[in-house]
Amino acid sequence: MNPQLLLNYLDARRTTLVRLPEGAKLHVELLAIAPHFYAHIPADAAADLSHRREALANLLTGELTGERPDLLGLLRPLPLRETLPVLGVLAERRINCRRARRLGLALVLNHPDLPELAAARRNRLARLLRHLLGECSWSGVRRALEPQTNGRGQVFLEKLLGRYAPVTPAVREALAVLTGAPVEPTHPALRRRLAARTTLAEGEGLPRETLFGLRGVFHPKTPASQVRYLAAPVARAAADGPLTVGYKAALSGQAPSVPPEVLRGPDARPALPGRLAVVLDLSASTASSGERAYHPAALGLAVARQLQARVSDVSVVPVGGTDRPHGGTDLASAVLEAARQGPGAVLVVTDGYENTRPGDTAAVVVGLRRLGFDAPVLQVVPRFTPGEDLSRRRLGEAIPLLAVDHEGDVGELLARVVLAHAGAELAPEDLDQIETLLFVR
Amino acid sequence: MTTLLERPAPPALAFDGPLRGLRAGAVQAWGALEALALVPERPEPRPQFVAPLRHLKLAGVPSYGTVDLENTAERGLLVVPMHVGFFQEGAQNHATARALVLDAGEVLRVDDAFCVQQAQGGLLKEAQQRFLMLPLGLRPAALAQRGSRGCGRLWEEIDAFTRQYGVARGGHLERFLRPYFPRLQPLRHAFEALPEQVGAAYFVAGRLVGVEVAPNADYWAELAPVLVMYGYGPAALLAEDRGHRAPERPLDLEGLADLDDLAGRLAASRREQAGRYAEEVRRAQALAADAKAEGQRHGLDVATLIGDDWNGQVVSEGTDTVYLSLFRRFSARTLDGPAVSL
Repeated sequence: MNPQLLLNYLDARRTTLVRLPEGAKLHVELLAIAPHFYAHIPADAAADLSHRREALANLLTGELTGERPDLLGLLRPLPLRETLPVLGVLAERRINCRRARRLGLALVLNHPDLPELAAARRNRLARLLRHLLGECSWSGVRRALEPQTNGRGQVFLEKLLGRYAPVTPAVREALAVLTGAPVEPTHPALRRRLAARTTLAEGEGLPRETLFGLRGVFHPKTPASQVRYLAAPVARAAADGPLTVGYKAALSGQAPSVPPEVLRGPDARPALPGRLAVVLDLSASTASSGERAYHPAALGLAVARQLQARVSDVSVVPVGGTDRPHGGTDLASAVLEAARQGPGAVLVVTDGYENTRPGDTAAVVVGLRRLGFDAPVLQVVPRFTPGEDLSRRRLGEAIPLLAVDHEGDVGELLARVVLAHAGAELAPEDLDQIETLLFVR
Repeated sequence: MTTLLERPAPPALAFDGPLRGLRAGAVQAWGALEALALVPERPEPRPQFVAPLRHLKLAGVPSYGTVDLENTAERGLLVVPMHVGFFQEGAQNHATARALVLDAGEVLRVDDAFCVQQAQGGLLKEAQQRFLMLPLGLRPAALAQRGSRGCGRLWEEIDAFTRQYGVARGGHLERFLRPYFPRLQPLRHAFEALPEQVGAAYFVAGRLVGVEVAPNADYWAELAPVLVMYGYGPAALLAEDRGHRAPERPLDLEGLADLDDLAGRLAASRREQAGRYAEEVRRAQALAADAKAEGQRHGLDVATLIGDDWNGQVVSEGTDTVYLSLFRRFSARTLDGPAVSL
């Protein structure tokens, strides 16, 4: 297959589909040409939700040649909180074929997170199950969960759901809460949710939107500030990885150094063969300031460390400081130094404030090409938030820019290096390697 | 691993006159603004001078136009840079008119400060706070009015300055800073203090507009971000908005032989630019000889240059320059007209 197709996906996957005029076409092509690669997309944590939903819909309804990928096996290890919005596409597009029903019910009813999700995302989950089972069956489930069914209810439930999951007491409790059947649950989350109908404070620790939903129906006079006080704290969308946290603490003086167990632990997988040069910008600007203090330097150091752990031969050419932010940003000289080592690729990890001098790196890369140096040169920007405008921080049009938000994003960096080396056709073993780099968590 | 710091430095481009002991270093650039680093030929820590952000405290504002400044250091002289501004919410913001010298622990009453927020009442509160700096476009007028009194004597210039940026009228500097802050802030990251650097010469769209020298590298590391964001940044934004850019210097890549050849051409191009800019600085600093002595404080001489084009102050200890700030008159018309040759 043409590696450009995968590069197009990597370029597109963080952008919502409605903003990609060629997005739907890209999905159709990927499904037709690389169905096994495509089957990973519903579970691709780096992809925008719209891509994951589109891929799931296409995989369930599209024409596939050969063996169908094991979607259940790919989605089962993920938290149900993450897969539920993806599965939501089944209800929204009214996809209720046998494959969709089996995937949705087996995934949801077998998942250990079911009671938690039934408490926190009741409406969304109930809508999905009602769609998969159909209105009549859903009403039947509710009747079967009534206390006075004398065992007939359990028989009905096992006949209806038993082929997807065992109907355990935990599943019955969750279904009762979802269908509105009377129940006194034993699971703490379900108990909290039902108790919050009477006293909102009993729902302390539930997600904010769940509590606001309960407030709207049962406690309209409760102040919003109290709801916010009771709600579970919202975690930052992209929390730093352990290496980034360690480097930040060391750079800011909160810790003497990065703990050895953190430095040792990036990856247990076998290293990829090859020689990689990393130009690591540790100039003064990577110290940043305010809430972003030391973020560019720490994430850059973490990415370099991850690369050293995952590639057999990595040389690092620091710019500015050697172990902490310091001095100016002469990236061009560092790229030249990196090129002397004959690497298979050069990754320039920088915040993009090339001041000595702007444009010199781009000119040096043009010069390197004229001298026959054909290894890819990529700019990697450690980013604090996806909202950052990087347009003025590009090293040059001929140097592809890739933003990283997390130290775990090195998989994509390496996948791009493999793709850049692939030539016109991607070998099957390269495709396997790329799947591992991109999708193995 | 080899670091940049271990690479051979470019040939010395030494200065004389008030910049004696300094040489031109690397040129940094971002947008229309460029800075030629000034580094000492023999680095001296000069510990007798303390850094301003850590040791300058606004001790009080007894009345509009008068500020009390304190050097909080237990030992060491503080040279307060020219035209520092103090901004607080709900109080009249102030800026100073000239360079000042404070001994350790000294509180100095300065009665020729400016109010820079015309319609705001309230006096600034005592605070150990970060300071700003008047933009280049206001500095000649501010220096010319040193020693005089009157809270609002810079309002007319502020009004003319902010109108160049399409900002509402009045003597309100904050009305310029607020909307332009997102564009000014990246400059703080784009220009970085180099090891041992004690000063810089600033160029906007290829024109030399200012030369700044600090007593030591610590002092410079604190002053440089303020200078670039508030002092010279606004001029660069004005230039960019009017379509001016820093001159492009494409690298000659014809007939490249090998990597050494490429590295040599890169170094030569940078050296050539630094040399040419150093020549401009050399001509500008010669004007400092016309500066008139205006007194002495704690053993330091303060001299002021007021000219048609160049203005500034030099604080010196004997023949050694401790602090220097020379700047050019700058406005939108400067950019629209022909390049001014020195």
